[in-house]
Amino acid sequence: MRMNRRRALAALSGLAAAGLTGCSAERPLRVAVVWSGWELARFRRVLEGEPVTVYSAGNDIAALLRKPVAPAATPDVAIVPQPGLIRDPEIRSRLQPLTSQDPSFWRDLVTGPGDGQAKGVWFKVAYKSLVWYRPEAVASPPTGWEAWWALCRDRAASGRPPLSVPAADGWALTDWFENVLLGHAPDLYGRLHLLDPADWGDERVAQAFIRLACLWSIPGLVPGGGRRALVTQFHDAILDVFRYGRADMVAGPDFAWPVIDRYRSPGREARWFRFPCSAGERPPLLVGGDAVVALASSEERGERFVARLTGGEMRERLAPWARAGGFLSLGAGLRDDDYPAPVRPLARELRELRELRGLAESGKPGAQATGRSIAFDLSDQLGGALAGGDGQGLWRILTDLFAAVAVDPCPPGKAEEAARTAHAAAVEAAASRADGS
Amino acid sequence: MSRDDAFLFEAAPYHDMRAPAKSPGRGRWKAWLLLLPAAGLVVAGLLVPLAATVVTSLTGKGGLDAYRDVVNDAQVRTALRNNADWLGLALVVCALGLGLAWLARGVGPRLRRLLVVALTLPTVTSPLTAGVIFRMIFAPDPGLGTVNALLPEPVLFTGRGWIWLVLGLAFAWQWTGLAFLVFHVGLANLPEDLLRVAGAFGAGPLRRLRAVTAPALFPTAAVALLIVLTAAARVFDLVLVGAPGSVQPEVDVAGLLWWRRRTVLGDERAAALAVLLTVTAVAVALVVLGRLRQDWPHAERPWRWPPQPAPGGPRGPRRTAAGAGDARWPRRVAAGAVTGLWAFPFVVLLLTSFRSPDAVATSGWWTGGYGAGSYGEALDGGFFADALWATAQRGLLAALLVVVPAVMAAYALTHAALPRRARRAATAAAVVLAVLPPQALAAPLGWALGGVLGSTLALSPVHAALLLPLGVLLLRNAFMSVPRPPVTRPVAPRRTARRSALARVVGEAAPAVATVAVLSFVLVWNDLVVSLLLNWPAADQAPLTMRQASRYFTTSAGELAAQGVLMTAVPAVLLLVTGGWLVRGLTQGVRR
Repeated sequence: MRMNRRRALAALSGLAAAGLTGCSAERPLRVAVVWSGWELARFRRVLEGEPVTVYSAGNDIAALLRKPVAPAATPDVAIVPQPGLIRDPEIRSRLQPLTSQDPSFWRDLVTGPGDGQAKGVWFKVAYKSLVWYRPEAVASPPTGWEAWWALCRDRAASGRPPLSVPAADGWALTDWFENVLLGHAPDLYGRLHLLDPADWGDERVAQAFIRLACLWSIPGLVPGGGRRALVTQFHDAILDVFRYGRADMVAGPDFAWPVIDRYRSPGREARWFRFPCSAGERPPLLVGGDAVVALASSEERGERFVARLTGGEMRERLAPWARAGGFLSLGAGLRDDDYPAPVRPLARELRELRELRGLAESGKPGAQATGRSIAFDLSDQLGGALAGGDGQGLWRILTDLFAAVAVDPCPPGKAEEAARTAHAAAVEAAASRADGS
Repeated sequence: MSRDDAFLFEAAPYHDMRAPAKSPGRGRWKAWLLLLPAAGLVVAGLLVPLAATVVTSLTGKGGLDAYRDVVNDAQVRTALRNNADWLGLALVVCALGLGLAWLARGVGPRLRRLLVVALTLPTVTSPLTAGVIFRMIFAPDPGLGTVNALLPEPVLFTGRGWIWLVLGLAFAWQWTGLAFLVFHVGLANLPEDLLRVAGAFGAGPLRRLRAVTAPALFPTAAVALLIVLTAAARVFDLVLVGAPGSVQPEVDVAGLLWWRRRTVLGDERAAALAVLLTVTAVAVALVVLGRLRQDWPHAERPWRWPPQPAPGGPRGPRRTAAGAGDARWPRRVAAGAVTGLWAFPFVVLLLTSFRSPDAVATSGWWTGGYGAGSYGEALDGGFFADALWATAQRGLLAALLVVVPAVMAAYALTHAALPRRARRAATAAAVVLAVLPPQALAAPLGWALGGVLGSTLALSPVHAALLLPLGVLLLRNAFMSVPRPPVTRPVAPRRTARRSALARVVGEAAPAVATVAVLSFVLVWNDLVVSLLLNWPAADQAPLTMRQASRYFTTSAGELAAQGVLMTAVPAVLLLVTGGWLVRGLTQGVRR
């Protein structure tokens, strides 16, 4: 009995000692991300075994970076999808300058107007100017917007819905809008995130809405009609095309690939063509991405972590994610053959944009080398009344436009009217920002 | 209730709720001391943040400008109108509960047991899980959605217009059980003697309904109404997960709108919206409050789980009479159908959770493809299990933080020597505070908690403060039913006498204490709102994890179903284990 007690005491004191040494060891690095679900699980797997705590801050990442919160809640490192936040002077003052090997377009996105320092490194990027299709249904990809529109109209008229549009997801509709606008008015696109009502009021913005309305109002465009499209999410739209063959094409970013690959019917091939533009325009290259920043309070630990994550040391761990799809990187030591075949050219193209100059900053000349207009996702840079989210801002304006032209039969005149209404709503939202704060 | 009817005034038994002996000075001080912990928690957790929100809403541009802006906002008006619709639905749900309770009176014990279990389980299911289940059942694709598979023409149930049906049914499925339970007890405890006396005095059925049945039911109805109306005023997660993004503007409610637009609205206008939401909820509470002044509930008959007719009760012989069985058949069939209908969503959830994720994404639950793959996906990496554990810890701590102050406060409000006026004021305050929406408190609380946000220790008191008023109300009613011994004081020296008096009341009202503990735990366990508003920046709550997984509904439905089953299992087991106590605790409160 006594022996037992003594043994128990010894065990307890041992535990206490272990606890004490545990406390004195370096605490885990706190990494805040915005991802959830599949992406979050993938990222955690990349960091498995590392002394790192990953947590999802969701939509609160801006507040997390902006407000001085107590030390226990401050992240050491954050992965941010809105480059505007990294350029925000208030947030910048709390971030460390980092050594960036990224191409200049990307580096400019996270470089402050005054200090010329890059305070973010791109960890993950997305290629958003794609239309995925089934080659057995679409023999040759359309050469431009007009050809695409004619193909859709003829296909629809023959009773075969050509497109699946995930109108339940606002971000998918804003990607449509941004692609059209970027093709049509690249220089204007680069200024719109500044929310100047005069820029938003430009007729070329209205033209982009009208172009979309003309395509979306084609009768029989989507399987089950526009009303069904409004409850179709991005993944449902992919299943429509590649699982059930209810439609032939779906516009979607590179991260559509893992979903296509997982759910497509056996033997069904998937290809993509670039999002079309009108004759005489430069094809749009819309990109998105997540940049990693280190907070000043993390000192050199944060900087070391960023360097490790983006510098190629983690290649072995990142490769499985890249192979599964949904992960494009500008470097990180990943090679072309780490990517699945369909997205390999995309990874190469994004990496080769080295010496291009971006359009995200106002007044900068367009990207020329590949003959494409490259720009960062606009809705990820919008604030105020145009900021996205279900039922909010630009998401809602485009959802309303889709509902107005695609649900009931819509003659061209009415489609244009609906597009003008959407444009007016966008201008008003931009203006309300100008009055408000 | 009886003052309206002279004849009842004579016949109704009179309950004296006052303390038998008035104790001077010192006893009152102790009663006030007993109120202190609850008052402290409520002041720090509810009143100060609420006051801060009100002040914020009135500063800024000045005066009522923020309110004018908010009321002129079309989105806000839609949301407030939708809130009113939800309140209307809550009344329908209560009526449905009453109807089902009436139906259940005539069926046998075994069927009744099934009916009670099927109806009450949804009440402890999280609104998030309910939203997931109903979105699955009403999926627009006939290959996936149960209802559409049965129809010749597919209906876009999750689209504009129809979505109200889906959300409304989910809400009714969740809350009818609670109303049913409360009315079921109320109906079983109708004052039979009074009814007979009224009959003997020549009162017709209508007068009996007006003079006896309705007043006797109202105290119990008030409980059901308060809880269901509060649920309707706070509706949030059901809409968030149940409706696709494109229809969110149509079904938006004020609480959800506040969460989505608070940064765009700015501090003052967001505060004004939160205050408007609070006013709506409080207005509802005040309607119920008038009725709560009556000493409710006062049931005297012993209760069993599941509820059964009292042996030897006045209706006993009629029930067992030969030939009555045939007359009850329609009721039995109806009760069986209701049981099946209410159990069906659980069947769908369970079967879906035991199918592989790919099968769930591409085919209906009736087509096979069974396996444990969805659980594998749900538990992958151990994060969901961690979240469940964190949620349980938070729930346990919050339950403890509710029960202890609530017991002390409820004792002070019933058995201790508190002035009558103070008791009334405290009870009224509890009713009003019980319905406060977390949105009205979130901004100041988030600011005050700052650095400790996200930790169990910081958030459990917030949960506790929000639940404490309801706990006090339930316990107050239970403690009131505990009879006072004719002589309390002279038996022992003062201190021990007091302590043992409290212990005696708690012992007698143990079912109510257990109910408050279980209810608090379940409500914290199922909570998404407080987590979304205040859990930041560490998203370790299980409902949060589940919401994150719901982004692409079709392809994550298998994982969601598995998580939903795991989320529901804990409260379901709690309910089945403590069921008998819960029924008594909710409706009657005392042991006998």
